[in-house]
Amino acid sequence: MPEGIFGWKGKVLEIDLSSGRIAAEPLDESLRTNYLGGRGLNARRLYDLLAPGLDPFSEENVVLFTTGPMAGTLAPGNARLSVAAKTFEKIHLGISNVGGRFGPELKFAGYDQILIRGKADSPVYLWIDDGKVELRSATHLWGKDTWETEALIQEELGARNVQIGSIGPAGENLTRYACIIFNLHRAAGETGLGAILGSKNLKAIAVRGTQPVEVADAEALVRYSKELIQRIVKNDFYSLIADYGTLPGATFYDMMGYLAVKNYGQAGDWEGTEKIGAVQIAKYFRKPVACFGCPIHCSHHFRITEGPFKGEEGAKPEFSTTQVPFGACLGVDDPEALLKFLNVANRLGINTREFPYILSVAMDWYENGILTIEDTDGIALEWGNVDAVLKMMEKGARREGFGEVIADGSEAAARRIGKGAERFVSSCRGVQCGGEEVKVLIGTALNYVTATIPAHVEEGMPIVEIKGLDAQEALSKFGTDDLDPLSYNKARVTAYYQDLCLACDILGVCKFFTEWTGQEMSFQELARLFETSTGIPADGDSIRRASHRVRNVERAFLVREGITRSDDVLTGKVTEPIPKGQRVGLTLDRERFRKLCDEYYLLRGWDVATGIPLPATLCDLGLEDIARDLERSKLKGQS
Amino acid sequence: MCEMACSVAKTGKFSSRSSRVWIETDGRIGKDLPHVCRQNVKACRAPGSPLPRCMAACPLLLEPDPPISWDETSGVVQLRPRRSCPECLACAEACRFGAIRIDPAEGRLVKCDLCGGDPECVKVCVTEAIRHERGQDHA
Repeated sequence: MPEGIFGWKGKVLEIDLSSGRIAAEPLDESLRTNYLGGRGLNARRLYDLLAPGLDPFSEENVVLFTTGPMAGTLAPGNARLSVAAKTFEKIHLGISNVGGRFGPELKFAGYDQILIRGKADSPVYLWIDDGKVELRSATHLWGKDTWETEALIQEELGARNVQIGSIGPAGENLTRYACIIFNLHRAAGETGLGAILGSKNLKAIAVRGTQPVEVADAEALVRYSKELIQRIVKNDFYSLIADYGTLPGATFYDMMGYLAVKNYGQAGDWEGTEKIGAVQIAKYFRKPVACFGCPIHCSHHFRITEGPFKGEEGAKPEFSTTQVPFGACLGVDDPEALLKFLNVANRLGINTREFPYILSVAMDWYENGILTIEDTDGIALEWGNVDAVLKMMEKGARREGFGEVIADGSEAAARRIGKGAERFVSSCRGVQCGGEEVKVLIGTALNYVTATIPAHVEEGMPIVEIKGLDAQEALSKFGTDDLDPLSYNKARVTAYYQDLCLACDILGVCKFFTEWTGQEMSFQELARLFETSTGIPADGDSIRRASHRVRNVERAFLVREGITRSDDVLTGKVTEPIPKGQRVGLTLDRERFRKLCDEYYLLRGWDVATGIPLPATLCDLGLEDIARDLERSKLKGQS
Repeated sequence: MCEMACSVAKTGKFSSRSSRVWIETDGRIGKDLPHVCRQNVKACRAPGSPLPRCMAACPLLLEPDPPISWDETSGVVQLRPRRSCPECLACAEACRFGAIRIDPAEGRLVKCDLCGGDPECVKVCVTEAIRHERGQDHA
């Protein structure tokens, strides 16, 4: 094999917004061989760079944008870009990832990672044109939505073939549900990262790259990728997702009682579901849309041709970003309204999960008289009120009127409102939950409380608990074939899918390609792609081990911020017995759930009482320095 | 994917900008505009000429061994810029489909040659958005 770095570009673009200093630095070899890419590199960098207790809006906070070692090749689903920074209290570690074209383009520009620190005096955007990098004024873009911002930047740069990520008003106004929007319709949605960019006065990043990506064994990578692509399109899961994305999920969830309707008001059996099913929304589809290097093309461009939202065009309506949060959670059964909401959220830079969940709590408050129309700026926050949702999105993004009340999340809003409002909030480490009725999905509940990003299915909800798995395969992988949704025998299966999902985030590969969803790829396929790309020998075990390493770094980051097992819980309305719909009266068996968590911490090598990684676990993964850090902070805590 | 399959086949590296087929995407209207050589279809012809625009524009067309030519057997418009080409870009400018471009990695003009009759881009296109067949309006 020829000499050099393959797969990675081996370069980090470092930007200090305070001083304006821009520098390309080498990507440390031990970092890339231990943490591989994406979320792995981000976790370790943030752990090393940020002091515990840092205010997320301070200049010292660092934002990272990182691709994987296969980004910009033929490897299936290589487009995922991982974003990370210190974020809001109790979440602490801000993590999200996004598809589209930005990640590969960054790689073509010559960088694996962008590292941003400091704070600009006035709004700026970053323009990366291969090796030419500059900060440009964004004063004229401040206040503009993400779609206007993308168009104006493209016009200003005189180029259409530029990939852009930007924040909307929600990020500028530092709301906790602010996300970063890429390629108009794709979001690094979770954990409030848009607000972190807003606090730095960084409106957008534009990138164009013209340099090739070199891999260790191009012929082997191409051959193996082609083989995988053939397997992927022959998989049963392919045609469903290719035609409908994840939309068929809503009807299924409703039928099985997994759907939490109107702020956990009922489990499934919602009368609106059939009006917003996959077929009803797919009527508006014009064309499938794919991320860079993706044969699955789960996204679709849509257009509304008549009615009040005539002319509305957009892309990527999904089960977990559109149908459930804006539909079932808010009681809206009009598919055109849902598509409109999606566009408005993308333009304002609002997370399509947490925001509607928070709004559903507000609607619950309204229904129960805790809020009146005087509190909500004259807007009737009634279930299914389309106009109210549109107005609240605007207000929520701009902190206007009632928008100011909800802008810091449901817990903060409840404290402000009083009158017993907190009873309606459902929280997992400060994140408002919604959508999934986790009382009947025990593995999903375990994933909610134990993953780095709280209450987030894509952290590794074991989808097999709803769609089943061949008994022999289940036995060999998880030591049990009992995957019933209500079974508490879920520690190993949840840990397994969490590991796989994290491996995907580290390598920058889309989870839709993996056995997480029933598709073809798993640890060994990821390993083979990694190996042909970088030239570094790997197998399924070594990739899973890297995933463990990253998980422990992330957990140590949280521990350093004061998170322990006592924070890994669900609180509030989600824990009350199901009031209506299927399985009325069912609730979490606290004792059995506690035992399940015990089993999970044991499996992770974390202290069962505190949830803190044990020194032996950390040392086994080569994290002796982190073991020493945690030991020291424990001593400090005791003194 | 077509861009990746093409660039790695032609250069051994992955690069959208080196690919001989390239897709321009407009997310606002959900349209993808493919750029690839049509290999001398009717729409390629220069007004009043039997030649495609790229060839008609070449100042060296009448010289022996011109840098751009049409191979009747394979049906491919061939570009051989290293041989006698001043790289004046007249062919690239003349093309209505944006099919002739500069490969930044190699610093020279490139275009699709149909991979000798079995295009790599077609092999990876699972949606069959790219197919390889002789069109009715081919010469």
